[in-house]
Amino acid sequence: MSNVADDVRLNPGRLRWHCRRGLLELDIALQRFLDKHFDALTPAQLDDFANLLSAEDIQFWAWVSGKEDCPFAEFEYLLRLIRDNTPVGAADR
Amino acid sequence: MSVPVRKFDAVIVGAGGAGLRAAIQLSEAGLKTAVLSKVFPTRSHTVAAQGGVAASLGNSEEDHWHWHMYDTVKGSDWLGDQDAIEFMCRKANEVVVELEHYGMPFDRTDAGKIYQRPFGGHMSNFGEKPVRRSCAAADRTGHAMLHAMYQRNVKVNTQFFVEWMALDLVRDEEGAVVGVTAMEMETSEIVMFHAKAVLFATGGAGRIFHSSTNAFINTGDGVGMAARAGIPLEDMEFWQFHPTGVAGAGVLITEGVRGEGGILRNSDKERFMERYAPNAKDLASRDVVSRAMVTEINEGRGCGPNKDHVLLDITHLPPETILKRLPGIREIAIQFAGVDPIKEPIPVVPTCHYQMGGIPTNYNGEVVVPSATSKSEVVSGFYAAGECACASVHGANRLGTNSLLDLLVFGKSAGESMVDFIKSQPAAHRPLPANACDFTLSRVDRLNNQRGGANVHEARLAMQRAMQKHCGVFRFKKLLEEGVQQISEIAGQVAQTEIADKSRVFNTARLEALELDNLIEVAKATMVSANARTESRGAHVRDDAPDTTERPNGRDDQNWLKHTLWFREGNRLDYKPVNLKPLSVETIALKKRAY
Repeated sequence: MSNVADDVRLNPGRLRWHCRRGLLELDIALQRFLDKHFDALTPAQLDDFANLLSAEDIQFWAWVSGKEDCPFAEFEYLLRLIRDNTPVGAADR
Repeated sequence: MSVPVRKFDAVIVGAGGAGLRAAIQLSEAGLKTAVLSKVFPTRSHTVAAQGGVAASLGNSEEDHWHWHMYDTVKGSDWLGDQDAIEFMCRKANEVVVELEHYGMPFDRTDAGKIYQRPFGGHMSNFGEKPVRRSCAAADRTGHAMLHAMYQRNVKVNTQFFVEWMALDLVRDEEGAVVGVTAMEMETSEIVMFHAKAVLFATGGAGRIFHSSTNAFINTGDGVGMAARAGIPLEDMEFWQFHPTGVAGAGVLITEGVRGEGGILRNSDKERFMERYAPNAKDLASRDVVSRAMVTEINEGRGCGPNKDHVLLDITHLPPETILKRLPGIREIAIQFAGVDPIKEPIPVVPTCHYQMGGIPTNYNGEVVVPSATSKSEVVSGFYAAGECACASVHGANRLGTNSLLDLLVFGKSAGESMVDFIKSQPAAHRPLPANACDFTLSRVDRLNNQRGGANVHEARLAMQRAMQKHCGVFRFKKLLEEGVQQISEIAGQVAQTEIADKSRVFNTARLEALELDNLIEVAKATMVSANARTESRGAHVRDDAPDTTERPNGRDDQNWLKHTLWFREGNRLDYKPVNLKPLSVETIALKKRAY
């Protein structure tokens, strides 16, 4: 694992910006995730998250909403955290 | 401070459907074309479009562009320009077939033709009966469209600047557009993009409202930049709303929920639609339901701590019905309202969906403004297309599936106009004015050095709540008047926003502050334009402009059959006539809009 601080790909600001999507459903779910869980991710988990964020919006939402099963086991724990819907007041944008 | 300059023939801001379509035209003509986008192109909000694209191909039954034109004029409540509408409907088949050739996987008939399905408001034979006119790719039409056009652009060498935010439009002493300033998110570096022609294709600004179906990126960047550069904004009082979005989130709850027996209730748990529509009740038309909901909220019978929404109740339906017939809705309610609709009602509110107004253009995609000699003089070098533009084809209300058509037709026509314009120009670019970047630098400096200013999140929320309450789906004279005052005060706060984080690498706080600078221009334009228009027309509905014999649906053609133009300078309004003269056919004469 490279040093996170030096790796632009895993830059936290960059990953936060990559949570801006074309679909409102994903924007809200990911904003909630950023507010509640993002800061606790380990470098290895940030790497998984960067990979998950490269998914296409329609596919990504199908995984988050449970309409389709995600075939990649390494994303399952992240999808579970993204689905965590306990409120943080983050929907006000 | 010196700002690096990059030179292109054409610069396009926005990589959704309209920007990508225009870029194909320019790059195929061999012009050096840059496309700037805040997000990766296939993550543009066009991806959310499911419905399809309208074209009178006649593959499923007889159809004609003239019938499509009639439907669009009627849908616009006669505010749409009939030359632009004829142009769009006649071009529809050509742009859909081109898209098919770019690899768009349209649904097909058994015979291999593009399959077409019916969609609300699209009729055959001048309003006689529904017609199958919408071309779709399953429920992911927007997604497929972005992919097909992005790949085409890669093939023709369009240069993409992804994760760049355009900041200001740059005009020279004569008013000609000579480029844009933009910020690279990774470094916060500001660069001057010097161009012979600039196209804005930045989408809508639905985020001005508290409840909106729009993605977070829809902050009206092009509209805000145009306003700051002295370009008026056209018909900004017209916004399309959907009656039932999840309160506080905006995610749509389909009308199918009421179709399955869903009931709207106020804070007294009363089924209030019985009072507004004794026969149709909860199945009344969109506008009737939306107006009833807003009236309940305004009269103090809203629900929740802020009494700002009503409830959509399906708890009386058997759980099997909900699970079987409305599975997606249950997931949306759980995810975004935090309620299981089997056990608890869903909080809902009328929700903003689409911006009909925007940067004024003609059907060639050229931006037009009033001058001493004309109401529509072309701004040299400046073009706009898609939701940020107002051609105007949607007028006071848009028909479903006409938005994807709009971005294909006007993306292409703007691209063609730019090619012609650039080829007519001398080889050298018009020089940049000496102070080209000063305005942008001073704005960013102000933000970086502000002390004791307003919090971006709070100012944005104040704006969104004011717009929702004072200028929502159903409008009241007194609320509008108060709203003008409120928005002007909030604009004062936005001019003083402060950010705690001054870092340079992907600083989302700075980006959100810069986005808010654009949103507030759209909010001011909307509130001021809506307050002034004292009739009801299409999506702009006022309580003091009711349905009478002389003014059907509250529409006042004698005084208000005209386009609004809002100028940022002085918060001033002007008007220009609607073009009722089509290109080749007879005018579609005014009549009451009824379905």
